[in-house]
Amino acid sequence: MEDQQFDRQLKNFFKRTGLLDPSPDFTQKVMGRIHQLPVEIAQAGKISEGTKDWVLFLAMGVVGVLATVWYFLSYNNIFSDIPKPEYWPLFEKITDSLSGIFSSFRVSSITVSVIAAIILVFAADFAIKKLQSIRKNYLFL
Amino acid sequence: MKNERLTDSWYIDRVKNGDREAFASLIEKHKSMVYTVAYRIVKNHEDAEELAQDAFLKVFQSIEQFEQRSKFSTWIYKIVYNSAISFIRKKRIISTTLEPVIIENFAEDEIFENLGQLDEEEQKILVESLMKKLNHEESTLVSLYYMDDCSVQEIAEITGLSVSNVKVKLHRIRKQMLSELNRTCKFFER
Repeated sequence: MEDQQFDRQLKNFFKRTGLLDPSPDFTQKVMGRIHQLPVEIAQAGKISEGTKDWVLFLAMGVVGVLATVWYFLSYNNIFSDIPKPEYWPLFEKITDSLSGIFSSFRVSSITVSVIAAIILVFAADFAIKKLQSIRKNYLFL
Repeated sequence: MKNERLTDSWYIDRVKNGDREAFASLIEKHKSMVYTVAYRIVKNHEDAEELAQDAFLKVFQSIEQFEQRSKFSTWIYKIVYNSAISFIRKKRIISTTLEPVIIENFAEDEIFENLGQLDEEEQKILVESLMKKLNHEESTLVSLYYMDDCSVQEIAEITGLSVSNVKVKLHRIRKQMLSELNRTCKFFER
């Protein structure tokens, strides 16, 4: 109790007199240094953001094309006349086992593939952001 | 709306949205305390100014990653504290500690009554002389706890000490302060 009272009085005393001030143009100096930096920082940020968006769209596009091809192949319609290569049984085995994973769901394999791809891309994006944040904290703290 | 505009997070969001000038408001708000923390450790105005500037620059560079889980002030104090500690380690600046000789002749109220009779300049000189008798860690704890109202938890986060260690150190500092202020009052009584 006495400590608390003493602390309160000390706080009043120190707040009146203890805080030091840097040079009067401190803010201008820091802002000046910031104005010199940002070109590269902002550009680097923009490049990485832009690249990230493109990778995201590209990944979704690739997954979409693969899902479409898979859909048509699995129904053996338009490609049925094309002679099958030697590795075809292996490919069929893989596609069969993949479709087996989702057999319990009553949705098309395309829908499942797209949902899985979106989840995968967002999980990867989250992981990359986390890693970047950890790296930044390590650098600056 | 007025209060909302004055919060750190409002300025941080503006900086994140590309308004760099909003960062000047954050500097204005925190520069004295950031500079004080640096100065209490390095005990030199030029180095403290440089370290404080660097701390703001680092914060600006990594503000995108700041998720506001802790207070902005805690974050920047931690940066400047670590930079200043690294600086004195490199320069091998030796810091002295005040020996706790307890002389308790005056009641606490009397001490502050006497101190209130000093003018502002004399009070500042007294604070500086008190701070010079503390080592860099102790004077930083005083700055954070008594001048900026940081909680024990926040101080532990900034300095990397445990909460119980901060409490013990603050208790020890409190006793030292009481003793020193008593000495000062005795001196003025003569």
